[in-house]
Amino acid sequence: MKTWLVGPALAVVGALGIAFGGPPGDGPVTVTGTTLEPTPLAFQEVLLKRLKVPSGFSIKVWAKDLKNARWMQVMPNGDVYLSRREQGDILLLRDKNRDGVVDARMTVALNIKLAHGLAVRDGKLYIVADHFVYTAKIRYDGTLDTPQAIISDLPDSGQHTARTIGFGPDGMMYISVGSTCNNCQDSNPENATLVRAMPDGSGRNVYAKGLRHLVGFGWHPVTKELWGFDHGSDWRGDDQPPEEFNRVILNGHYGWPYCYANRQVDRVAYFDPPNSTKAAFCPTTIGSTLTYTAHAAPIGFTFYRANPATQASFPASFQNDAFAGMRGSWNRSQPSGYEVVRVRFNEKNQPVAIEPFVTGWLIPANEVSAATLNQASTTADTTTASSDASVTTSGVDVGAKAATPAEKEEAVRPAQFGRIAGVPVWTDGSLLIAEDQNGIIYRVIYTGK
Amino acid sequence: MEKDLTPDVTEPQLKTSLDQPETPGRTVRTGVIALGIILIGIAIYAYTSAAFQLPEVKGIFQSPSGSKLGTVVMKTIDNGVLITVDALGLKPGLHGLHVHTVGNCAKAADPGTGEVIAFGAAAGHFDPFDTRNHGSPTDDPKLRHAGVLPNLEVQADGTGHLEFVTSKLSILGSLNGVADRAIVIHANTDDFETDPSGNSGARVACAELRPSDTVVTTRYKLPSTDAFPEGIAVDSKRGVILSGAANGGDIWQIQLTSGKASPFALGGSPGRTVALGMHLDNRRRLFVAGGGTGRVAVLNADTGAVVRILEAPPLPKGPQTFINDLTITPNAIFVTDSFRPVIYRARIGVMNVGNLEPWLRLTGTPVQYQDGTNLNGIVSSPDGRYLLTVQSNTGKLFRINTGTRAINEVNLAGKRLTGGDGLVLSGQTLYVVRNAESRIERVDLKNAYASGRLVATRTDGDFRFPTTAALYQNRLLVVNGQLDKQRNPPPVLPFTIVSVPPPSTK
Repeated sequence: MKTWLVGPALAVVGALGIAFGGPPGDGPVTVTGTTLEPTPLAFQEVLLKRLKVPSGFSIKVWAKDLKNARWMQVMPNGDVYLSRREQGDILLLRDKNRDGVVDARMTVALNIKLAHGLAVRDGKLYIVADHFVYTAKIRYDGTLDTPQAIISDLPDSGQHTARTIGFGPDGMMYISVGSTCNNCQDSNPENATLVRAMPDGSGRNVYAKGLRHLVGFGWHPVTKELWGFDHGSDWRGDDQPPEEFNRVILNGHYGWPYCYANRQVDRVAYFDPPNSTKAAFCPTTIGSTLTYTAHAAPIGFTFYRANPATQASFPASFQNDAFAGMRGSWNRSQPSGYEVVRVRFNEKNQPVAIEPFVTGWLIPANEVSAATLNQASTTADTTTASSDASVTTSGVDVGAKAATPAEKEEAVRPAQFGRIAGVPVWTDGSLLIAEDQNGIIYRVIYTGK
Repeated sequence: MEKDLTPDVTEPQLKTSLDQPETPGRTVRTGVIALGIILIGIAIYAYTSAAFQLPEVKGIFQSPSGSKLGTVVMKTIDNGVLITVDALGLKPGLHGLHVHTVGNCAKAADPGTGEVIAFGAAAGHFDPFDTRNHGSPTDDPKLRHAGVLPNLEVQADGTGHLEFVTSKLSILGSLNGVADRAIVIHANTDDFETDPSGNSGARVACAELRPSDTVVTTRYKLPSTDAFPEGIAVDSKRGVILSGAANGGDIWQIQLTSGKASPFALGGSPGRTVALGMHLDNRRRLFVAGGGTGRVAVLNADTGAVVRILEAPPLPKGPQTFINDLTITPNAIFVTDSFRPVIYRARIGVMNVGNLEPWLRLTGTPVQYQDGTNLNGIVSSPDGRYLLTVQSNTGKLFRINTGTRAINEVNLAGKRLTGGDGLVLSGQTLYVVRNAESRIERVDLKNAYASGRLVATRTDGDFRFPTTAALYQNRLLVVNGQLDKQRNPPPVLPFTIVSVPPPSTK
């Protein structure tokens, strides 16, 4: 764990500001920021037992060895298109014999740099990738025609390449265009926005702004209101700013880079809105409806809607609630995220709480041994489970071997074996969970037992 | 509809008027230049007022609940500004008194704390030197809030009277001018030391400092601190004014009756980062000139959604593009480019809008492009047969026959319309908004627009580099673009659209 004091640097900025009669701000602000990346562990079947699901549910591996598995689009016949951002391709996954495990996979599009968000409309798969939106006609066998670029001039993605796309109840195409940076006044006014365009890519305009990185979004099945999770800035301490759950409305400003959560002034931002102050500006913006633990990093988002007659359908109370995949923190002294959460909506279809749904990908430091790390701390390329693997009640321990100093240092960190991305509902009412580090897709089913 | 020249001391008509032998004029000229006062304001007074009046603002104090609590007048005098406050209905004792940055007494968030308070929209103390330091009225304003005034002493009967002369402020100065700002009376005594407000407590009374020589009846305020509104369209069906930002392309809708303003369509996407001249057709399409983007946006006037972005085809190497204004005829729109010598046309139908095409190349025609802003505002006759367009830098007005593409300079009997920006055509009457000159001319046209006479003019203490206007219910709604301040910020907030009677010969 490295703890950096960002304060002195900010204090210097403040002092210079006065000297030059220049940049405004709120004077010296000192924050403590922490870098803590839990040790990544390769997936092993034994680790499945660590995952906790609510009573009556179970979780299994649906597909594996997929590397950077990010976003999924479920088709009515059960086919799943999977984007792999790092590999820059789209896979088609199919469980032909319906035994709960993918038994056919093929690459249906490739050489699409930073391919991420997916959507389907009028028989075409829409893919958003960095500056581009592509459409590809879906053939009868699930393969794709050559993707056609319908938009080629989305702003630079910078630090935030997880672009997403969806079709609203108005038939329009919505594209999330994140900021390029952690906290800055982006030079391209289309960064940090949600844009809307015709399905053919024309008529693009900014729908809402001040959204730092709205990755997962969707329309409530009943109210048709647009909801999504926006990522708060880094380097503002362990608990600020929280992740925001926002109702996104036309022409709304959601505050970033000046404000966060319930219209709180970001005192670490050293700049003000033009000819104004953050304090005066923030009350004119739209605050978040709910917040979640800072740095948890919400990626996938879906409203739960399933035919109750389907095999794995969740209990009725889940209908019209939402799920979000929290990829997990690197900027918090106690890691957050590494889980799937449920957003509860009340009888008036308004969100009231965000609570853990699937947890356990994060392993606390006191349950991690050096030997574990020696065996498992590796890249996703070596996912083959060791025959030595064993799980003890106190933690993960794999064999006995002398630890190196570097291993000992790692042993004081927590570990994790899953960074969660897309979380769509599958055709049988189960929930799929993409995990982009080890390339696993999990499937949560409801058995009632 | 933008002018590339900043107001200049050597502009002929300004010089002529300032050289008038009247003593007040001389006094003002020297005093003004010494104080660095912006020339636009002077032009208004020097050029138009028979009874010459020195710049002056006044305001009415209101309580948070809206009741009247007295008056304030600030007048230009030889050695600065004379401030006269007559307050009533206040608690006896000393009350902090400050000029605040924004001329808006609405309830809003405190710029320091974010708490919503009475008169919060007036923002913080006027601090043109960005000192961020409260202080005493006698300190050098470069070291403290320039807006600090002496405490107002309120008598046992609740009235307070203050006369104070300061050389630290002016009425229309580009840096220290108080016009369009606000003055606030605080609950407690100002200690002239504590930041940010001298420990003077809550805001108990506020007055917007308005020019005395104005006929403005309604001021519409835009909720933006950096928009620089440029164009205007009145949507009578929805009862709103639409106006767009030269800086950023946001478009606002302002309720004509209530003045309530809200975003209509955010800018930011390609072709939507600048909003200049904008006009609404009878099929609910809003056409928006995109300035340096080289594009025209077509919006759905009911939803604000972009229907299409029209792009000018790439021309041979040459000047940058600046799509400034457009006019809608029954079957086409015509578009001016202030830098490239070409008029674009896009054919329009009931459902379709065609591409921008270079319709008329101006090289070798009577329209001779020069440095600066050339063709700017453009209007058309109702039948679409003629276009009228003004060349800002030369002040020439041209008539273009859309059938033959013949161009004639409109005979104005030797008069020029320099700074000519937005145009409004009503029958045979043309209103020409002149931006840097801060005035609106009335030109009566005849002979199928071939000739015209400048018959009346409208100036107003409330014009701030007006860019264009729209005629609505026999009033001109004038957009105070402040594009001079776009080059020399900060603008004076809030940005406004003001309603005035059209210039009349009566």
